[in-house]
Amino acid sequence: MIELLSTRFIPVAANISHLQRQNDEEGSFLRLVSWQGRFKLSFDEARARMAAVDHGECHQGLFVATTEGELLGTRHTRDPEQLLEMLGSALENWDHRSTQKETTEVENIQRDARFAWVYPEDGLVLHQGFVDLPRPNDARPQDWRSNAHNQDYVWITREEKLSLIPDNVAPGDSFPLYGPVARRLVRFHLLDMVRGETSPWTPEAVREADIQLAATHVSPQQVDLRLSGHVDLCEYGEWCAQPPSYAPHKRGQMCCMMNERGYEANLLGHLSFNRITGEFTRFNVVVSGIRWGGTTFNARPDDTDPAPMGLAFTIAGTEARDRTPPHAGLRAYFEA
Amino acid sequence: MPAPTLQNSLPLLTDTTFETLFEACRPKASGERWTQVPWIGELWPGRQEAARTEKPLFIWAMNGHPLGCV
Repeated sequence: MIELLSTRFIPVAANISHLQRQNDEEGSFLRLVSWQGRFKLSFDEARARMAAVDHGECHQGLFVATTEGELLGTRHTRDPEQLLEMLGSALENWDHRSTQKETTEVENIQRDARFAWVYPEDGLVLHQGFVDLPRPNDARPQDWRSNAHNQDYVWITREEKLSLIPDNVAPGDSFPLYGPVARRLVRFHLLDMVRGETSPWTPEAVREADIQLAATHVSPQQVDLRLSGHVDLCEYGEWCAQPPSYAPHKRGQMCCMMNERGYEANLLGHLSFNRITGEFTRFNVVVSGIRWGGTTFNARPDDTDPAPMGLAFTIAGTEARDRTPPHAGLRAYFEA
Repeated sequence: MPAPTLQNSLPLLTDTTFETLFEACRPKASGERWTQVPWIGELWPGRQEAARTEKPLFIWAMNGHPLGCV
């Protein structure tokens, strides 16, 4: 599978939560492919609908297509055998394609500004992990749910990064984590995404968030800091989870309703800042606490009782995938 | 918060337990096999590359970024 995808295809991974609503050529192209693959329209029917952004549909899926949007294969599956079968069929269709007959050049585009994330080249990017911590009293099914983990990225601009360290910091100084960064971390990242995505905390859900930095070493070249804190986050709502495929109910039929979610946790971390380069060389933070409840998409309907959950942040790597934007809405993320 | 069960109470987070918890919680993506595929993380650059190399596009389209948080 890895070799096949790497050699015979151009493999693309895309977040459709904004892409499917983008009012630009990139959004139109996704919709052109998905209208055929997920919604079974003909190529011509799909072309007629590709520009419309108010479709109200989910365009999630696995697709093979030509660069002109001609669908060659699709199958929405987690089963590798089924995916391999689809890829083989798509390659057969590739041999009989009616578009992309020769090498061409596709121009750059101007993205819909509402969704145009720009990687903070001179800022700070953190890589985040999410796991359930060990439970001596563990009632989880012994399947993927007992071994789930997830990841996300934190984007901090250059100005925000430099605001984390006061110019005149002295050994022993203590001060709160810079407000915009603290609010972003708390509302968009101290979340239960171990099993799947969830929405950010509302401002009202933040009952307590106290994150402090203490300078443990200061020299003309470097500042070392200890991060510590405590958060108490709780929110009430009506979150109806997706019932399993065998259930007689559909989502919205009140069969899997959850009305509360929360996370009470402590934070501890060690940071080092190089004053010469203006870069962090260490940003290791652990968040450890008790979560409870769930929301529509984070797959917790069978696991709402309080249980330990851990998060960790560290400086992101330099692979292409480490440039993936945070799981958030663009404007809300930077205005938190 | 609902009362936690006694066995699943708040984990201790101290300077002593920090490294162990950090290793347990840090992102694990770099060790997973899906990372061996040379994914392009945006659709348009992928389309440009497919056109240039005359190959079909394989599109993994998810709510939430498949290379990040889904």
